Amino acid sequence: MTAKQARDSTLPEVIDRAASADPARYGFRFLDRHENATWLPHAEFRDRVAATAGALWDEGVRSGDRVALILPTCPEFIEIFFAAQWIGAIPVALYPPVRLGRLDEYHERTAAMLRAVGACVLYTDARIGRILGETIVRYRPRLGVRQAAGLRSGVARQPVVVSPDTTAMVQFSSGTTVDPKPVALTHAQMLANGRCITDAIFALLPPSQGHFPGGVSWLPLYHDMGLIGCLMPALCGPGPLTLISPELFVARPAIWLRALSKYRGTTSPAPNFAYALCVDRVRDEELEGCDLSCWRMALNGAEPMSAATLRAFENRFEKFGFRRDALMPVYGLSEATLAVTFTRPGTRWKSRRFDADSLARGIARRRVGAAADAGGNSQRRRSDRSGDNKSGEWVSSGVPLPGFEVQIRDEHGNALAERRVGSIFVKGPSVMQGYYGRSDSPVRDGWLDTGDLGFIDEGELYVTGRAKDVLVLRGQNQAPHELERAVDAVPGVRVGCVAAVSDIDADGERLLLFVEVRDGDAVATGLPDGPAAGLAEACRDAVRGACGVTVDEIVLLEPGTLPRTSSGKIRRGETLRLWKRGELAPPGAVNAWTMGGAMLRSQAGYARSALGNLRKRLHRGGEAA
Amino acid sequence: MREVVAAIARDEANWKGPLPEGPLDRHLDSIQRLTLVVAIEDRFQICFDPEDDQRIRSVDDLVAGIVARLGARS
Repeated sequence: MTAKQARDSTLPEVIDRAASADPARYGFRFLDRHENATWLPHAEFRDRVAATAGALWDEGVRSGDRVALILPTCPEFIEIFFAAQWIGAIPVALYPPVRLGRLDEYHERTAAMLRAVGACVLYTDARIGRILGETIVRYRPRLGVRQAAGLRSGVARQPVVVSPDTTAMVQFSSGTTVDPKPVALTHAQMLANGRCITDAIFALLPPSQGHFPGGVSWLPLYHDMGLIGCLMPALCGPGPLTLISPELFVARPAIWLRALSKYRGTTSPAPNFAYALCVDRVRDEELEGCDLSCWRMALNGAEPMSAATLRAFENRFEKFGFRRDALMPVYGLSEATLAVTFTRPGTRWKSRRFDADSLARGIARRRVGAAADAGGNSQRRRSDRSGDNKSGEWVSSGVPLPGFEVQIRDEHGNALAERRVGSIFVKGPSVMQGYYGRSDSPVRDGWLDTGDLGFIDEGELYVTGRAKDVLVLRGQNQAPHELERAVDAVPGVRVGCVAAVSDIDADGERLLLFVEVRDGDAVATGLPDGPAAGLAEACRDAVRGACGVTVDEIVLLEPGTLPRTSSGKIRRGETLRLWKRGELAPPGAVNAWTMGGAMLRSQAGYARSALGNLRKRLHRGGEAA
Repeated sequence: MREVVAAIARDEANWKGPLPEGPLDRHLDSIQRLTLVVAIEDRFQICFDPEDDQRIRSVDDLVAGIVARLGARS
């Protein structure tokens, strides 16, 4: 594949080449809720893309236009997505509303994303379209909201010739309702990342040796892991890809494993929570006759990983043939298109124990005698934060993919040595140049500040936290202030005095909520059935209601405890650090003595400043004389 | 009908205890809600519209939605 593939420099060229593959073996397979399959060969897919492109053109879409899609996992999604690229337009995939979820925030967020990219049209289906009225009131695309069905009956067009450096798509990264961050990616960047993933697959499973790599995915197609991680290898390979809707997987996770077995899937990525969900929810009888030995690359990324989950998954599904060398912790982010580091395919995932106190102080010190070098070899299964033996088991995210570099830097931008914790910077062929339509960018001189914290040990990346204000829950980014705002309305909570913080530890990512209460006595009593317990439960309900996520731990605080910047913003990272060290405490009581001392210190500061200025003036006067 | 919904919530959506009173989204996270609604659609062979999704806020709404869908089908 490599010699020919190297000549394809845009997505339409890749689709054209994939269309020449055997239609009986290469294509997309869509599973419905009864697990019935609809097969779409790459050859037919190419024709549908060309016809859909003709329909888009006839509806007024032109080169450079941003084309928004809100669709479930269905053939129309991929047809419109790549048809937009076919005519030089820029597809932007947005997520559909969550079932039984609140729609007010959905409308606001979706409109903000449409506005951020200046979408000229929004394609959706009849079901979703009926409830998008409120969104359109907030942002109306120039060509309006249009139906996805029937576009493939358009008159086929030839692809527009574009440069590999033309923007090929926009995917949304972290950001908030009012400030969404659209990641602009070129054809070259999409293909570079897609080929990195494909090369890794083919290195483990070379077709020349009779392997036939194929993917299975339940990941949403509007998520980078589903779009880049699954669709791109299917086209770049090419290879077959079986697609399941995310809501079917969540409701019945066994479908994922059955599809892997039935269609002999070799590659399937998912966030950590999906592996945990399978352990919890899949029953043996649901996998009767299944053989998971074909699954060679079970990639785990998009959110922090837990060694306990990885181990539980292996142990649970080994009897169905799941291989212990299949699990592959990985690291990536949408600003880098997707993949940055991989566990070496075909090797056992790695974990190590590091001293928790040292880690909190920025040094990754291995725990002697408690090594857990290969996943599963450790006898100690959980992080231990008690007594003198505080350590956690951290999962390696592997090594940089070919062409990528990873650096750990301190707050001044200086590169740090191995086992020093700092900000993770990434450089590589698929790192974005910037956000669409924005001047702010985390990329300088080709280096992307990921906003994540971590360290490198023996060349392998360990992600330990997050510097940027974003939480990743079940693979989805969540803005902390949205969780905090939900709690503001709870009676007894000090408005604007809540911090939602992500705590990444050896067991994965936990959502912590630090809440200042109006009545500090409620914190002091802290009885299980006292006012504090009721308040904590009310906060938990409020977050669940507004954002659909469950808080792992709520810490009630006395008024004034949360550390703030000089401008009054809550310092979330500092809150977590202080809490972990047991140093998160309310300010000392103010009395006449402390107030007097503060005034004296303030006056002394003014006096020193005035004296300094006087010295400078005298010095300048002397020089002039 | 409530008993059937309660059994589905318990068996499929990992809901412990009696059915929650008040808004569903204050008690069930998004995965539990999704699991519950898909399991109910499977169990009763019905399909809620997005408008139904908007209307359903509580267990009572859910039961009413099921009854309405079953009625429409028959």
